[in-house]
Amino acid sequence: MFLLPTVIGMLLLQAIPILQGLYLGFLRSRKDMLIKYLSAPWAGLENYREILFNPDSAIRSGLGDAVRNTILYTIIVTIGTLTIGTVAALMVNREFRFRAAARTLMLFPWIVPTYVVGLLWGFLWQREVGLVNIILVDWLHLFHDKITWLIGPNTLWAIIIPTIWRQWPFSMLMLLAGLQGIPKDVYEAAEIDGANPWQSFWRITWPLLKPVWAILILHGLIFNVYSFNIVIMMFGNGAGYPGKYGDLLMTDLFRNSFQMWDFGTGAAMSSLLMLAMMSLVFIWYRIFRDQLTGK
Amino acid sequence: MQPKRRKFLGRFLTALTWFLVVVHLIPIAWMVYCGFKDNQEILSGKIMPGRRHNDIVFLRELPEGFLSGGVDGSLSLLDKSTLHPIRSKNLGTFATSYWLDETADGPATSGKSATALWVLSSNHGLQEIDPVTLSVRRAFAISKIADVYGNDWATLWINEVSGSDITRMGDALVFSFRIPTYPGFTAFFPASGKFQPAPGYSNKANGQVQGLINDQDSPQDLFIASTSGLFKWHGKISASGNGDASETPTLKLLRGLPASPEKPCWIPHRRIAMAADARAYVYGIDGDSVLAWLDRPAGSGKVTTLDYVKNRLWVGDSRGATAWADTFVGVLTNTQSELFKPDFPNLPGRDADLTSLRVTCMLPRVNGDILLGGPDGVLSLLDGTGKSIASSITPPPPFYIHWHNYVDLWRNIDFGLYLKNSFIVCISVMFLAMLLASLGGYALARYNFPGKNMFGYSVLATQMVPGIMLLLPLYLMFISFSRATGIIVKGSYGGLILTYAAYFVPFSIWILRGFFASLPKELEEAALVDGCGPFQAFFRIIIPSALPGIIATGVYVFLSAWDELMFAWVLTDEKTYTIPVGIRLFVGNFQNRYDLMMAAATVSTLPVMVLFFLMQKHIVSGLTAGAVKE
Repeated sequence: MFLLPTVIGMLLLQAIPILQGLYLGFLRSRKDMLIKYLSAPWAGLENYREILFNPDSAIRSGLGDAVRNTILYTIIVTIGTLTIGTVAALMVNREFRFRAAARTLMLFPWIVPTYVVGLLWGFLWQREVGLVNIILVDWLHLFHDKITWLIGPNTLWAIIIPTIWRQWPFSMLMLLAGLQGIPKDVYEAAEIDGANPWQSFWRITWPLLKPVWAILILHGLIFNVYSFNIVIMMFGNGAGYPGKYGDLLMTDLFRNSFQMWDFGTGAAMSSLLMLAMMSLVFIWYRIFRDQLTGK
Repeated sequence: MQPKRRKFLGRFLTALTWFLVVVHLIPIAWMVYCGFKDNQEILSGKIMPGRRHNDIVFLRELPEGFLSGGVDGSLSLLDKSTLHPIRSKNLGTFATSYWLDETADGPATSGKSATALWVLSSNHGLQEIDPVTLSVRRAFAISKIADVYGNDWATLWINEVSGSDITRMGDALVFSFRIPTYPGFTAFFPASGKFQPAPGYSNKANGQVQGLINDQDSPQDLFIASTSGLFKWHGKISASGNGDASETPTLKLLRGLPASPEKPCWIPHRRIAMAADARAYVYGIDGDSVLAWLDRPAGSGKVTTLDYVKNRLWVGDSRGATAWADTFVGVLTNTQSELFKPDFPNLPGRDADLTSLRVTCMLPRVNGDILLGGPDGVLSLLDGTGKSIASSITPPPPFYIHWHNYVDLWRNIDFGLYLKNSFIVCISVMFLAMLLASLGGYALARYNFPGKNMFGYSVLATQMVPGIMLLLPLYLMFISFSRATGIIVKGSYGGLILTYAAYFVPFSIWILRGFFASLPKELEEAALVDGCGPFQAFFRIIIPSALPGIIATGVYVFLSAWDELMFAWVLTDEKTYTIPVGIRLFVGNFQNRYDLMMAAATVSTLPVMVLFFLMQKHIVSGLTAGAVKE
């Protein structure tokens, strides 16, 4: 009875569209066929063959780059986020003056909407007028020439760093909550027993933080593989093709679907992506199962 | 570990923490800061806001002293012998031009006394200033001028107005702004305080107005120097006769002169001196021909100002001021000239070698002296032989905060609409999603029903579906639904709200489930015993006790919906664009306007920042509780 409105709503706007999306992947739903909706001509596995096995296909161009970039992006961002987040959480977990203020200030970037992050960092990365080059080259003299961030191989870093910048506060918040759940006397007891800080970190803190890490890794996985706003706002003045070194799966998919109006292959690619994601989550669950379900 | 060492380590870690905080916040600080900067400053890589240039563009002699005006609205009344400012005021205006209403009679040697100083600028509109006390008598905001044109004057980028010009024509003042989007020129009637579009000239058809000059012999003629030539506008401007057909003005393009004349200066016997590119020339109106080219040596730079006094034409450029004897009568020959080099004081902090000789304005006095004004408010008074009498600097303008970036944003982009749309969508989504999710979450937490596990897992599984997988069929669904029923869904608030709600509900169910599960069962048992139905118990008892969790989740949904670009991009149209879509379009249309981009970024971050601060405790405890309990 309680479920009825929720279930109906979800069926209508989640389940049915997803099933239709899976079905669309088997249709030849291109520009002129879009209007036919689900009665577009049947294509069978043609879309999947195009994506997976036809190296000359127009859809394939750039897809490989997008996959590679997305993998690198997700891994580096997740590692960076967790590392900085852990260090910051440990730093803020100590007693010092204005601790609450420091924590709140650290959370600031996490509230900045991602499209603003893309816009803002797109400006910061500018070659001539960007703050990054001003600081690195003009003030610190670390490099001789101004660095081109938004063209070429550097683009990947240009999207990784802002993402880490925005996301580590969230990791810190979660890890801090985990740290504060550890009672103080555990550490005191360890110190009496002669453990040095390093040992007590590995023996006490580390195991207790593992479940939080697991959650954060999952969060990072989903959030970063499906990352869209930052790239789209940073490149091409909001229309954005970021070039082969900065393209992510979602932007590639979006362009393929809504600029080339090829819904069939778009849906097929999304299905594959969903499949990949589900297997990743499955692997994740196998790895962290022990931590998640009572140690 | 030694206590001393430990204390030191603690201090070091604290310092490191604060260092991290500061570095971490630099991008946000920079964003807000650049939102208040001038785009030129940003593009030239300046960090500190420079003082604005207050090049002197206006000099007049009053009995009380010299009156000087800068392009940034810095006004000074200067002592006549020492040039020291008696009184100063900065109006903080942009692209300023001045007109002084002088009384007809008065002693010619010490300047005529004046009744009013009119200051025209692109940010403050028209102001009437008392020329002696420098106090503002009346002010007419720029919006009053815009109102006259209604929709014809769609945009005015304050930053991009490169100048303005104002002159008097009988009862009226006529003026124009130097920007292609300005309609033409406008008349203002000081007596009634009314603005009126001047008919017969449009920037679009006739070129952007560069300068206006009144025919001193025939008050119904106005000469308009525009980017496509010199026009003679003949007509009468009166406060009432706008629609009278008999007064339709005539417009004539004068022939035989180079394109794009600037800085027109009236010379007796129906001649006009003008500058085009680096050349200055005298044009005879009756003969439709150039009477003389003023041959200036190479490297003199652009002609900055032209003035005519007592049979001499004065030309200002980067060498100083040159006086040419008036022999411009139908002969295309060089004439005798005499160069006056200004003795500008050295600006503080500037190398003496760099002291500019550029004259931006000049005032030849009747007694043969000449007062020269230059960049950054420098002044020099020379006598008739070129010897320096006095020099001075007017007070520097204050640092200026560019609030007008936000004004520009609001007036020229539909930013208010985007903001409204975003609020409507996000708030509706928040309430709808919370209603559905608390029902679902409660059911999952409390009841056993067939397929419960299935439902729980499918809720989780939706989180792994890429958004575009939903978007493709939804897009087609909306379109075919509209074709079948005639109800427009794509581009309406409803479509977007439902989509978002569906998108955020599963996640919310999962979080809220935890909150409901943590409530003691006795709560609703007690309610049921008291005779409440299950729904009553839910809304009266359960919802209020789980409110902190619901608020936290709701705010999180609001923040996520505020941040959503992909769905909104596809499912909105001009009427329902949310902020991310609006900003994306704006970025595409106005490349390199970093000042406005950063202002827009700041405005769209502010609401969520405020929301976060109000709800900080709830959000932090709500989110972390969910994660840690897991």
